[in-house]
Formats: sequence, structure tokens, C-alpha cells
Amino acid sequence: MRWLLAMILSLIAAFPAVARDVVAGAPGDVSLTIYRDPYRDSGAMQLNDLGGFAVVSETRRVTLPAGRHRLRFVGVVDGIIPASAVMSGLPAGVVERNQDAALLSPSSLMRAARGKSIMLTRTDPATGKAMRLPAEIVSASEDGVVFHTKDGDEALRCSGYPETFRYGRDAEGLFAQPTLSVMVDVSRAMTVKVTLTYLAQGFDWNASYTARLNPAGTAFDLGGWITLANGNSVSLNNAQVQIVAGRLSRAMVDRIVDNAPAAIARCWPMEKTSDIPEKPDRPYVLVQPYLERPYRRWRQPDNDKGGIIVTAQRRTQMMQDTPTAVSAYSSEAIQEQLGDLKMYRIPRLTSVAAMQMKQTRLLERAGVSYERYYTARIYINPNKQPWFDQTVAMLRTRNDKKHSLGLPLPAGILLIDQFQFGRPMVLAEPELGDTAVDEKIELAIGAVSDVTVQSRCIDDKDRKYVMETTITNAGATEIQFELEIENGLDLKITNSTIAVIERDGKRLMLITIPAGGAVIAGYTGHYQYD
Amino acid sequence: MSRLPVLAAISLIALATAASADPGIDITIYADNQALVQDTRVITFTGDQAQRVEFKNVSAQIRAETASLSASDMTILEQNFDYDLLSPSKIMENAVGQTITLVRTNPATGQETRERATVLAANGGVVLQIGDRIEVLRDDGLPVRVIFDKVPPNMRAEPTLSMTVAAKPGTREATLRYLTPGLGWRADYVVLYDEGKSTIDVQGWVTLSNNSGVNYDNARAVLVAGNPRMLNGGGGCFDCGSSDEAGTEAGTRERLGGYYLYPLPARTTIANLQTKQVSFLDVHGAPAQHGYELRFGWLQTASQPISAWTVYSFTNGSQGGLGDQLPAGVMRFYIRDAKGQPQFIGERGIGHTPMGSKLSIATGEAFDVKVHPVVTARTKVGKTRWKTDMRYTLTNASSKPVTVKVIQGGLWGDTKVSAESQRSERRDAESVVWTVTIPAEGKVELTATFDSRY
Repeated sequence: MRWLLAMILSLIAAFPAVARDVVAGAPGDVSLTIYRDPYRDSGAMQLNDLGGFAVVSETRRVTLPAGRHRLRFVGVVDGIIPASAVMSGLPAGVVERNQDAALLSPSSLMRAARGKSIMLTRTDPATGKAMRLPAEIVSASEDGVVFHTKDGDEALRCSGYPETFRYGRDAEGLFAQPTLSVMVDVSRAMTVKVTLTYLAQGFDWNASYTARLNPAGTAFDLGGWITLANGNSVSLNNAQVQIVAGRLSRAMVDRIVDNAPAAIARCWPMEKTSDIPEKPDRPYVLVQPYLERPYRRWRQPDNDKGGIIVTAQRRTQMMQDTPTAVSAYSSEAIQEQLGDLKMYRIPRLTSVAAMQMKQTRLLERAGVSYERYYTARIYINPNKQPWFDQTVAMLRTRNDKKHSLGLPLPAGILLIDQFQFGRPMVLAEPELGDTAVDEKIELAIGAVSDVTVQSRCIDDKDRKYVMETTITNAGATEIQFELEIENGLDLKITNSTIAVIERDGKRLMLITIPAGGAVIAGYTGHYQYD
Repeated sequence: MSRLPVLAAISLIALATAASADPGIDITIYADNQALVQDTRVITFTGDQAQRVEFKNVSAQIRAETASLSASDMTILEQNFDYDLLSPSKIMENAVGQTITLVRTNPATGQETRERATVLAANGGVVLQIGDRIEVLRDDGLPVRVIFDKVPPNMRAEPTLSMTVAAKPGTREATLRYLTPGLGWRADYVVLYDEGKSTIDVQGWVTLSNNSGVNYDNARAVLVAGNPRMLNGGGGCFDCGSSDEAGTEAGTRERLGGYYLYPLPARTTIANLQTKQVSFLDVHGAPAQHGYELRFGWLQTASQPISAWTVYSFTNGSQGGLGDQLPAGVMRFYIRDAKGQPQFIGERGIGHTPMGSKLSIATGEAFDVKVHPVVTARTKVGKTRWKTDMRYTLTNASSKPVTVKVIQGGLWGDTKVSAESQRSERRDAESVVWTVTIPAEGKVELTATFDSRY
């Protein structure tokens, strides 16, 4: 390959004195603000693919000699979006900022050494003696490695001898971790504190609520948890942690990924006379008897250690054998307004480790009053045969002081349970959207069979349908029932035996049904379209 | 397509200036992942009738068909791009019928023996002829080194561009020019909004990234803001348009045709897999307005109240604005929290924005400001005419009064507003706007009747 060099004389013009590397000190005053995945509704987080993000802010001490230097920030979170980095505290003279995604690995080391002189080390298996001779890597690709010595050209590790390369100290530009650096030009030596703030992917958080209904069925105790997760391989220690509720707009940005295939010491085909050709694949797949537990599906590192470990648990009170008592001790996150978003500050410094999920208290409210009602949506249908519609039990309250609430409720899952039969029993797990103060909360508990809705079309003429709906209550108490009539915009309801009201865009008949009783609602649906 | 004439223009400049250029690399980077590389090297011409000149360290993604070499007193005879890549199996396949050297070491004594062998076949395994016997390479599992006398000349460690030239002997500069993808740039803006003063501080960075597979040492880079490549503005956004009103100010920035140029200040190394940022804008205290906006695409009933978008409006004009063109990129908004620390509140992609434009950037949904649109009635009033009664319930859970622009779109044909609880403004044929103020912790009901044709 030397002949190539001889042919081309690549001239590099006088380059400003080679910049020296200065490594910034360890991060201190770490602040972590976690934002939800803006495209995820209140459902659960995917720990192996966290779609949220975070803003990391940290302060580092930097000692700069006079001159031009490359200041390196080592140990930034690997999900960093480099273009978002903001640095303050640096003296004037920032020439440029760089982020290098070329990572140090056996493969990148070999590629970087291509065309350079290195040492080949070959160990004699008989004597254990290592032999070194100068070599040059001719090619290093996913298809194998070819090197050149004074003997000629050979392929790496195709001989059966233990052999490897020893590289000089020229892993220039290759870093163990994604590294952010700035080229600075300072006129005099100085020590400064630099604050680095950047966005990083691979975080998420969720609110999860528990509502324990009291035996009287009039109020519940609400507990809220913040569950946050860090899917990056960098831990943030002693950090001030905030979470932000509300949906932000995100812009899609490209991220540089090293998609060059790894250099592998592969050989030419090495079949022997003793090799048995591979059998074709088994024509069937064994069925797994049960699904793996979801925790097992979280990202497993290659070496099968240090994966995500759940160290936090839901409040242990949940597991206790007594009805929930709201504890006097509170360490609720402190809420503040951030523009048009809500921010919650965790009141103490905490560490968010790599691949960790963490839970902390969001809120605790006792005696939230609610009303229970039932609803069914019915459709006008010319079918003369009676049909049934599904009835759903609902819970309604309002996010105000009167109902012992009146605080912003970030979106999340609400686990509704009731203490009965000597244990807490789950009734439902509905989703709660971002709820501002004074907003109405209506949550579906689930389908019920005690309350039935049966409809029938008695007569139809000229797209006018005379309907009759019978609601029965097999329960032991009187219930409030809201019959919702299909909201076809061109449908007019006339001649109803029970008043039809409009509320929140729904057409409803509000009906009280006594225990063991039945109510018949009659009405005519008239389609206005021709 | 409009890019082509511009590239042609650059090419002309390149040709004219190549002779006097210092050795080194000049890179012109376009926003749509495309770059023109002009690589000036010193070449020793031998005076041979057909001299082969090979170029290493060119972009791994080079569009070889766009390459051209220029130097004085030189004619190109042929241009080749070899992509038969060197690997152990390729060498072995190429060695079929040729002689190689085998080196065996006695595992007990360490004694080395050398033999010459001819490769008979390399199908699945390697079959060798050594003297008058035939062997399968390493069939006994013992170590054997295979040494090839030479690497076939047409095989490369990486795709290689070469030229065959005829030139007057001598050492002089030659310039290689080619187009390559893998180099691109966009702008990144950091916007800090001051709630107390209603101003913004804006830092602008050009962000250049190199994914082309090679390092460009000592390069002079010029970035061209021209190919409008809109970044995806993210989902769920109504009325994403970043610029409300296009600007008409020229500014002082250097132009190439209709495009703005952003030269990097110094020669620099653009390493492979590197993201490089250079500052180009730093403005403090430009006035900005904070408001709310929500657009409905048709006359609809929503099952839940919908959060209004938080919108920040400002101009990039020279009077009371940022005073510069804004190349396409991403704007990230920050606001200070109670402890004075800047916190992120949302981001949005913008297009190439001429100076003097009005911008409205929707950063996210407001937690406390919501609108619930409901169709309260739809009545037939004639053979082909309908009346639709809408009610918009606007709520504000915050402790300050807010002003929301409610935009009702989807007003096709001769749809008109026949009644409304507050005066609207017909923005265009398709939509009307109400600017509604909601008191602190308050609620406002806006109603309107639309008269439309079916």
C-alpha cells in the first residue's frame, strides 16, 4: 500500500498549533427535569423504549491554560441531543462546539488503524512465547481483516494461531462515551465554572393514582405517585429532580448513528471433510406456555447484568390488611407554574441511576366526594327486534376544593379499589387525562350486568323512528341513570316521555331507577337528511 | 430542481479559483444532506502517457459520477470507481489457480516449515495442491498460516476513485470536485423567554453533521441556506406555520443567488460522526408576545375539553426583532423556573425565514387553558341549507386572565356566520377567528351559528 502513498502526496497546510485536550471536572449541582413522552397518552411507560426526554443541567469546574484548547465534557448522558446544548460561564473565545459519536470499540480501533503501522502479536501455542512483528492493516471490514507483513498478505485469525494487533496510542478522536467538546481560545490561564444544559432522550415519567372507595360509596382517598425512569446508561447522582406535566411540542431531529458495520475477523469458507451440512430449520415453532413477565422484557444488556432493576414499590400500605389511612407524614412534590406547564419539584436531592425506575409521592387527598351513576349509549335502529346496549358504571367528581381536590392532576392511570372481603379489591383502572383545576372528572368503572338497557323500534315511517327503551335495575339500591342518545348530528328527538337535555355535547335523559324497578323511555328519532 | 443552476454557478467559481487556492478542502454544505467538496491536493505528475492517480480519504458516500479533477497541463484519460472490496474470502477466491505460501509450526517443537501450494478451489472450504498431493486447508484442525504474495490490484479496502491522466511532468496542485450526501446542516435556536419583561434572548447556532464516513481535515466550510427542507413539526399541531407574515428586509448577509451563505469563521476539521456547531446569532431582549391559540378544522363536538396551544410571537426584522434571516432549523424555548433556572417548555421546526417576518411558534399545550367545542344543534333550513349552532366553552384555571384566539376552520363554500356572541374576524374564506379574554379562574361561553350549504 506504500506505493499509493508514493503516488499521492497529500499536503496539509499549516494548521493552527494542534489543540490540546482539557477535560472538564466532574459534574456537580446536577438538575434533571423529566418530560413525558408527548405522543403517549396516560398509558404505561415502555421501559425498554422510553419516549420521553429530560433536560439535564450540570456545573463543572474547568481549568484552562492560555491558548487554544479542546474542552471535553466527559460522561454526559448518552441520549444527549448535542445540538440542544447550552453552555454558560465560558469565557469569550468559543470557536466551535463538537459532539463526537465515534466511539472507541475493538472495531473502531481497527478501522482507525487502517493503513497505519501496528504490531502483530502471535503466540506460539507450544512455548507460550509471544512473537511481535510490524504489520499494516490493509483492510478491516465486516467481511474480515487483511494485514500485510514482510512475508506478504494474510488474513487475521484464519491460521488457527492466537494472533492479535497491538495499537499505538493513536485512538485519536475515539471516546469511550459520546463526548461533547468545545474549541476555546483563551488569552490567559483561568479557572471557571461552566454550566452545561442539554436535552437528552431516554427518560419518561408517569403519574399513577390510587383511589380507595370508602364503604359508604360516597368518597375515596386519592393517592398519587410520580414514576420516573432513566433508560440511559449514565447515572445522575445527588440531583435536583423536577418533572413537567403538560404536552410540549417536539421537533424531529436526525441523530447521527454509527451505522458502519463492525470490523470482524472473518475468514474465507473453512468447511472441512468432517463438517455436516446444517439441517433445515425446524418446520414448526414451539409455543411458549405463558407470556414472559413484562419486567423480563426490559432491555437486557448483552452481558446479562445490570439491567433495569425495580427498587421502588407501590406504597406498601396498598398491601396492608387495613383500609387506607392517609398518613400525616407527607413528602409531596412541590408544584409550581412553568409558563403554561406544571412543574413538580422533588423536595430533596435524589439520585436517578442508569436504567432505573423511581417512584415518589405526588399528592395525597382524603375524602374526595364523588357520585356514582350508570350510563348507556343507545342508537336509533329500525330493527323491530329488541336489542340490548351495554351499561357502564361511572364515577364523577370535580377537581375543586368542594370535592377535597382543586389541584392540577397530570395524566395517568387511576387504580380504583375497595376494601372488601378482608382485602383491597380492584374495581377498575381507567385513564385520567391532564386535568386542570375545576375540571369535571368522569371515569368509567366498568360494565355492569345488574342494570340492563333494552331498546326496540316500535314504528318507522319517513325516517322517523318511534323508539322505546326499557332500563331495569336488579340492584338493592336506587340508581342514577344517564341514557345517552346517539349523537347523529342530523337526528332530531321529539315526543320524548322523559326530558332530553344537552350536556358537554351529549344528548341525555336523566333517570332515577328504584331498587328492583324498571323505567320505560319513549321517544321519536327523526333524521333530517333526505 | 432549482438547486442545479446554483450548483453550476458554484462549479464555475470553483474552477476559476482552484489555481490560487491553498491546498486543503473547501466544502459547500446544503441543508438537504448534500455537499459539494472541492479537494485541492499537490500531485507529482510523472509525465507518463497514462498515469494512475488514486484518491484516498474522499467521502465514503461520494457520488462518483459527479467527480472531476482539474489541474494545469493535464488531460483525464479515464476515471474509475472501484468497489470490489478486499476481504479474506475475496483474496482466497482470487487466489484460485495461483500459488500461496503455507507456514506450519510443529506444535511440539515449535519448528516452522514452509511450503508452496496452489489453490484449486475455494467453494465452502479451500482445496489445495501441494506438490503432487491434494489437501483440504486446515482439515486436521491444526494451525496453518496462509500467506498471499500480493493483494490483487483492483481490490480495495474501501471504494476508491482513481483517474488515469496524461500530464506535463512536475509537482503542482490539482483539484478534485464531487458531490456527496452525508454532510448536512440546519440551525438550532435557543430562545429564553422572560415572563416579566415579555422579551426573548435568542442564540442561533448552525449545526453541521458529518455522516459521510470520512474526516475532512483543515476544511473551509460554507453553509448555504436554500433548500427548503421543512423539519417535521411533530404531531398533533394545528396551524404549524411558523411564519405568519413573510418578511421583506434584505439584511447584510452574503447571498448566493437567492440563498444566504453562512461561512464558518476558521478552517476546521469536520470529523466523521461529528456534530459541529458554530454560533451565528446572539440577540438579547427582543420583544415577544405570549398568547394562546386553538384551531378547529371542522364544526365538531369534542368529547373532552381541548388544551389551547401556547404561542410565542415575535419578528426577525431589524426594528424590534431579531434582525437576521433565520435558516431552517429547530427553535427550543426555555423559561426560568421559580429558582431562576432555565427550563425547557417546547420546541418547533421553522423553515428558512426571510428577515422582517412575523413568527408565531406554538411550543405546547397549555395545562390550564382549554376549549370545549360542542355542536348544540344542526337544523335544516332549506332544501340545501343547514344551520349549525356551536358553543365553545373556554376555561382558564390559572390565576391570570388570558386571551385565546379561537380559530374555526372548515368553512367551505358560502358558509357564513349568521349569529355570534362576540364579533369574529374572517381571516380568510376558510376560517374565522374570535379573540376571547377569559378572566382568571374563569369561564367564557362563546356561541355562533353557521349557515352553510349541504
